[in-house]
Amino acid sequence: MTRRNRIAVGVAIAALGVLAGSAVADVEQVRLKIDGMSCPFCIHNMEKRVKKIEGVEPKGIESILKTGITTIPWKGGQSFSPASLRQAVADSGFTLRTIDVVVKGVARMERVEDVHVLKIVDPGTKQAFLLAPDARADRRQVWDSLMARSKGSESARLVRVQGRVEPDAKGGSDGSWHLVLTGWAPVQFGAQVDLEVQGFVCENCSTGTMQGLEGLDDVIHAQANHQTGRVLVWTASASPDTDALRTKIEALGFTVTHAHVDRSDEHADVWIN
Amino acid sequence: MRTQTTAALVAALAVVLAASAPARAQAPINSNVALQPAKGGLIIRQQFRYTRADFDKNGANLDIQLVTSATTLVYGITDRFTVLLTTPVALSRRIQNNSTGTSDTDSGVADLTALAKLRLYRNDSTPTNTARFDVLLGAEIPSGDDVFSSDTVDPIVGGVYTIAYGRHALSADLLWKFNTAGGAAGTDAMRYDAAYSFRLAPAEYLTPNPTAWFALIELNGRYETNADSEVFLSPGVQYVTKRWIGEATIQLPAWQNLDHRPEAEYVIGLSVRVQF
Repeated sequence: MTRRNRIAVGVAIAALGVLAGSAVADVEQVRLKIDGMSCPFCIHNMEKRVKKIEGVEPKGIESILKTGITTIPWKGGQSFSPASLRQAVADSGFTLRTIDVVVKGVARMERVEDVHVLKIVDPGTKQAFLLAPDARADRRQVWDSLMARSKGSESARLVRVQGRVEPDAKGGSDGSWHLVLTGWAPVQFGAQVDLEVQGFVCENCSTGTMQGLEGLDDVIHAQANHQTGRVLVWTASASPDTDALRTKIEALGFTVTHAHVDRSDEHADVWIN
Repeated sequence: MRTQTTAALVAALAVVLAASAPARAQAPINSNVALQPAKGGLIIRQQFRYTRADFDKNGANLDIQLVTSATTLVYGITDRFTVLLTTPVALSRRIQNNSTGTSDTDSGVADLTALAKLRLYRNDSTPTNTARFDVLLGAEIPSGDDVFSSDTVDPIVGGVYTIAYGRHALSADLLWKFNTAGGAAGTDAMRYDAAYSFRLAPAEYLTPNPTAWFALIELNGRYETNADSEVFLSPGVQYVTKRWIGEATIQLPAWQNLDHRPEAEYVIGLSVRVQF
């Protein structure tokens, strides 16, 4: 594929996206653009409402009045609802213009009915942000452009994307939103550790495990599925300390029955931005 | 039994204590503003005022010093609909009778003011610019105090418009109070205010936890159907944070034509607003 074609595909990628209802891969940050906050006293009104939304990390919220941008850190593994954010800003008496998100997850191409869709997924819980190709774009070409310089097969890729959440043609009343992709980049990692864990009984178990593992210095990202007992951990080092991962999980009250390490040179990633 | 002088002073007290309906900044100090707390939001405003006035008509020669406290609760039912309750208290009222050389000091609770505010118009054009219009509906409710309270529930109706543009903000309001008492005591009152505020610092809001200084100048007018009228010019200053506002003002008479109540020489006001 020529450079011009790659750029064209990149532009097409930037116009893509469908975000259905509540979704989570791993939302890292949400940025709201709000109009009408005329002074510092207004900020508290808005932040108080936003802090009540499930998933919001309340301590790190920052609002800059000049730009109208409110940056909200998001708790790992928590669901994301644009409708809740929109209602919170409305209840505070201001006008919400845009919602932008930064999401980290694994990119996968899947076939849904007769359409290939690109997803950013949490492979543990299977929850995902859907980035559906524009109908006019060659879906296969989009996927090929992502894999153009990678080695190996169409396997999972850890990626960080940012995009603008916009309601679909129905105005978002049914919970459907588009994610207009504005940028993405691979998350560089040294190794992927695949663990089998026993003892999960609910979503709280998997969420607590993910948060506990991501607190370790070497861990870039962790995802867990309480139904299958599968935990995936991406580490910065190519030789992760699996004993430390095991110790952490067992300290949370669970049992690790199996651990397998895949090093990144086995799934080399070279991305187009 | 309430004397005519005392009745006039009660009226004066009521006017002086007719605190503005505070909501959010950029809110004037002595006027209303078309800004509201969030749904479920609560703002408490505490004002203290010191008034010097005199009354030298109808053979009387009185000097009056009045210290008042007014507590206002503002609660957002929705983002558009707010209820307000103001409880004014005369902490100390000292009347010096220069004709007899005697003085009298008392205190009490004046009429409560209950208002509902509904936003009819909003245009948030930029991150910090907005224009809004609210209607106001409420009443003054007797407190039952023997000296400082009237005996009637007096409806209030009005509207307020506010525009914030960059470092500037303008508010204008017009209210009418229907006095349901009969006879000479049944004097209706119109209140009109215009306020301009300018953000002294910062020039731009560039940090996540901003604070700001504002300078204000207000024009606060009263007209009553007994032909009494007065206009105050009221400079002030505000310090605004995310959670609270501190403010100070002085009200100076620019025009007074009063035959039925004392003339204020000046009013000094200090207040703080806190939101929860």
